[in-house]
Amino acid sequence: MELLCLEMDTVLRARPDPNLLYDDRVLQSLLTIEERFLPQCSYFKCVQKDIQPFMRRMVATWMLEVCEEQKCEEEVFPLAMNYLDRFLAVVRTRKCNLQLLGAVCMFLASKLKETRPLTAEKLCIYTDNSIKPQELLEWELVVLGKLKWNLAAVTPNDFIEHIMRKLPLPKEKLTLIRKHVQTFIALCATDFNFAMYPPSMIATGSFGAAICGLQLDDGDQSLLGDNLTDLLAKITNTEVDCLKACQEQIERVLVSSLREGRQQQQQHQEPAGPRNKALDELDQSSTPTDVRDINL
Amino acid sequence: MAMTSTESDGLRVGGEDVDVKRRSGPVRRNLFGPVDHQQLQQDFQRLLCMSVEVANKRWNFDFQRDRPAQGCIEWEELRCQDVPAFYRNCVVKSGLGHRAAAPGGGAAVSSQRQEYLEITAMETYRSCKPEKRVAPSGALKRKQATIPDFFAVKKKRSLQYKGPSRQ
Repeated sequence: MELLCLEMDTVLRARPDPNLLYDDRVLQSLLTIEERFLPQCSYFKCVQKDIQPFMRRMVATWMLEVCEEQKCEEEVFPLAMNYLDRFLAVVRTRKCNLQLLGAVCMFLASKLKETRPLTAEKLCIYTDNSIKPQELLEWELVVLGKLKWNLAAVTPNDFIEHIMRKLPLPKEKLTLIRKHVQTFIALCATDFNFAMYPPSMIATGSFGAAICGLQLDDGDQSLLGDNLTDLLAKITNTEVDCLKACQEQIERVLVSSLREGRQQQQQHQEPAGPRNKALDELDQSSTPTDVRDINL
Repeated sequence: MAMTSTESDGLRVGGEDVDVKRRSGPVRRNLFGPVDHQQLQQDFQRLLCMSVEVANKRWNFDFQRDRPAQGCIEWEELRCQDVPAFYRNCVVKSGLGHRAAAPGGGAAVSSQRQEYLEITAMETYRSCKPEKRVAPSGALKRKQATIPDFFAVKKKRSLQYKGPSRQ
């Protein structure tokens, strides 16, 4: 018997579920449980010896690039970074194993969130075959154990739709705003300063930064500066001052990434020669993908 | 001008446009130099043993030898028939000759080749309800029987695989 497969190559996606999005209990539950999934400590001070903050940024940047190239679901990258931080907060890790850990975390996050997850083989290729699929599978078990199999962590992305529907936003801008918020969230995930922030605060801060950036406050008074912050703070029960500080920090991170990006661009424009490894590493460490080559 | 940039994907901060562009270098790259595979294997074994140790203590069950140990959870042996079907010994055959060698394939490719996936449940145990054994102080309330029940049956080889046979 011949079997004919009519499945298309597009990823099937569930429609937004109003039962989940229009029920305040869901948002309240997310707010209640989100802190359980934060890393236990600021691990560069108390756990890690070999690993430095700039290395986290290197591996985060690489992970973001892999996720983008593979067109992963938006929440895969922030979730993978959550796993990475939680693992590093409990296990001292060697620098040379950090990329393996990043690959394992993407492997797990992708399996949890996607209908067609990243394969072990593909991830190993992205490490330039510096690790083997067998090693990835073995370490998957170790990481799972250290995360106590708690994989369904709350990410800032979980709050996007809940916050969005409570803001008086112009309908035709929703897609653009969502995209900007997601980019800010990814940007925060590459920066260790945000690793200990509750996801709801990163989400609200990203909304603040996105809406201010897009200057959507022309028409609606409630989207103006302080009004917006008050509104956002109310939605997620955050303190206004904390939220303001968070939003400012997000904007600062973006601006500093911009500056580094501009410097890099100048470097790139210098006559190309054989680039040594150290320079390459330095280059990779400094900025997240999305704001890498920037024109102002 | 402001309009066009607002419509783009570029972020804006403090009224400035941020044109977001993709990095041109290859995503495929080794970040931190060569990996010491031997060291990696040692680290893996150490961490795995540690987590098995923790599990052994937590459930007072010797997961390596598949035997209960002394501790606050009491394990009770069950007959195979008393557990749900998916915990029992079974042999899953795949292939069954339908996936024969491709047409024109050499004789060396056996169409009879069958793969066996063996799920072995050596013995099955159930932890006794703590209420029976523990004074009703409620101190061990969280140790309800549900999770140990779930742990009661294991794949025989789950901790011993090493070689490429598994994948």
